[in-house]
Amino acid sequence: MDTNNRKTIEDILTKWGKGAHTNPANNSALKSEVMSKVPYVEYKAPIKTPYPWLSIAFAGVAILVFFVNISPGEKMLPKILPAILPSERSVDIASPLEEQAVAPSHSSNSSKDSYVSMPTTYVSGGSPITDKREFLKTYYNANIKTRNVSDTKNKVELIVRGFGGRVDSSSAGEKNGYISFAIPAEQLSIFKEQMKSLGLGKLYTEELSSENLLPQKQYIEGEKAQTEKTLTSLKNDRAQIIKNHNQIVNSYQLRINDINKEIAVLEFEWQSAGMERRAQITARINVLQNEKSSVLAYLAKENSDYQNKIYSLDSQIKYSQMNLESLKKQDQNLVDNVATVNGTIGLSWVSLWQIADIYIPGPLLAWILILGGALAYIRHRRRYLDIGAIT
Amino acid sequence: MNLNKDEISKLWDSITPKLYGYLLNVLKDKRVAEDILQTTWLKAMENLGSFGGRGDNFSAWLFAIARNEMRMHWRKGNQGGREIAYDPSLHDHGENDQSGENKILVDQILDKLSEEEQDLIRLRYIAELTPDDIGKLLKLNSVNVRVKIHRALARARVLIKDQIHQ
Repeated sequence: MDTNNRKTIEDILTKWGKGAHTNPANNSALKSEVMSKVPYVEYKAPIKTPYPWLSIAFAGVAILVFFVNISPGEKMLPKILPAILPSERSVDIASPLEEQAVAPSHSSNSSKDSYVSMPTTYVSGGSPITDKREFLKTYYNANIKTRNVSDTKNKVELIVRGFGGRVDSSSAGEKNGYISFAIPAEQLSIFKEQMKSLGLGKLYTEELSSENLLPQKQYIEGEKAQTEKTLTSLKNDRAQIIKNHNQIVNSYQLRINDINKEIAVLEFEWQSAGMERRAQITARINVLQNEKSSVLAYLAKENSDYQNKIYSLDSQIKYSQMNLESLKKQDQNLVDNVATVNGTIGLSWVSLWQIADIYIPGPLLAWILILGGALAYIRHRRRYLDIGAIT
Repeated sequence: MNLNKDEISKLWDSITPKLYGYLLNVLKDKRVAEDILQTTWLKAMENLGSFGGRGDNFSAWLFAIARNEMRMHWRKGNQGGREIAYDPSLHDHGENDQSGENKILVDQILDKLSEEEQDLIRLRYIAELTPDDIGKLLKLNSVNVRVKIHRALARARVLIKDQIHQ
């Protein structure tokens, strides 16, 4: 003992403990007696195969479910189909832009996943690349999954109005809801954050699309230029007609004045003239009176023609001016439209199961099967490894 | 817990040397140790159905029964107390002298430790129970058991050094 200084107390005690192990002298007799008291246990033939078949089956089905769910056949189709179909959105040129502001079709809200649709251009043919102006009209689509559709709809309406927007239409049922609205474009980023807070994480999906209204702007500008040109032309025509009319009227008036003067002279001469001369004067006065009547008739016709032409031109000028006003209004509406975001928000009720399915990576059923496999494996271990555990 | 005879037989062979060695070390009386060993096993067989199995060690359960039997034995007062004079013949199993000296040394050291420390060292090194099982047996926290064993070993280490120097 004294020579083995490196021995630890643990070594000494371990050796001592093992040395203390001993069986009683009558071990066999005691054992036999105890064995005779062992309660009868029905003999169970050991299972030949210790493989955890149930766990393997669960795991296999889970893997199958996982691969079936990520195959492109199911989830990719709704995304692809609407994208390749032509959009039904169109814009009426003649009607005011506020009325035209048709929100993108919200049919996508009914589908589980949103997709990005291409905005339809206003006038086909495109715009020259030299014109680099941008008049971007933004459309906002979102889908919120919620446990309380009606309550969420009210909150969305409140937020829309709080941002200085307006609600165009809304509906809410037990399972689904829908809100169509417009808000100022500068409020969009903050508005989106508010919407995200209503449908946390994966319960909120959004789609933003924008469209350059440059062709529409160019069309309005072209129409305005044309109308202004027509208006100027009409005004010039009107001035020319007035000028011509005045000249004609003046010439007629001068002729009438001359006739009147000659008649006055002849009538004065008639008082002191002889019989023969009086007959000549009377004949001449008759001729002049006839001529005067003719001139007056021409003057009346000229006045009538002038009135008609002026009326016609005034009507055309008035129409052109109205058209110009309308185009200016369209131009202003376009600017306002660009400054406005039209949006739709779809609301859909979500069950706790769906929430779990959304947040858990991969299909929920696969995870449940994996859990089932794990439990089956634990049970398997308990069944086959019990004896080892208790000794 | 359903155990058949083969399994019980294996348990007997693996646990009995530890249990009997423990009883012998505590009681220092072969006859009493054999009686308690037998009673312990018989009671275990009678109450086999109440043993949970899961999370419990069969060996620890058996030691719990044995310790209870020992308490009942002392309560009866047949022995007039726990202190029995050391009888080296009871422990002589024919080992070499060095091993015998080791046993005598450890037994002498154990006598100088407290009863709780002796109990802990016997359960740890003869019964070969884990600190967790000892904790369940003594109704102590397993960390507490480790600390107590560590302190007992520290005291034993000092006593052994003193013994060697003497």
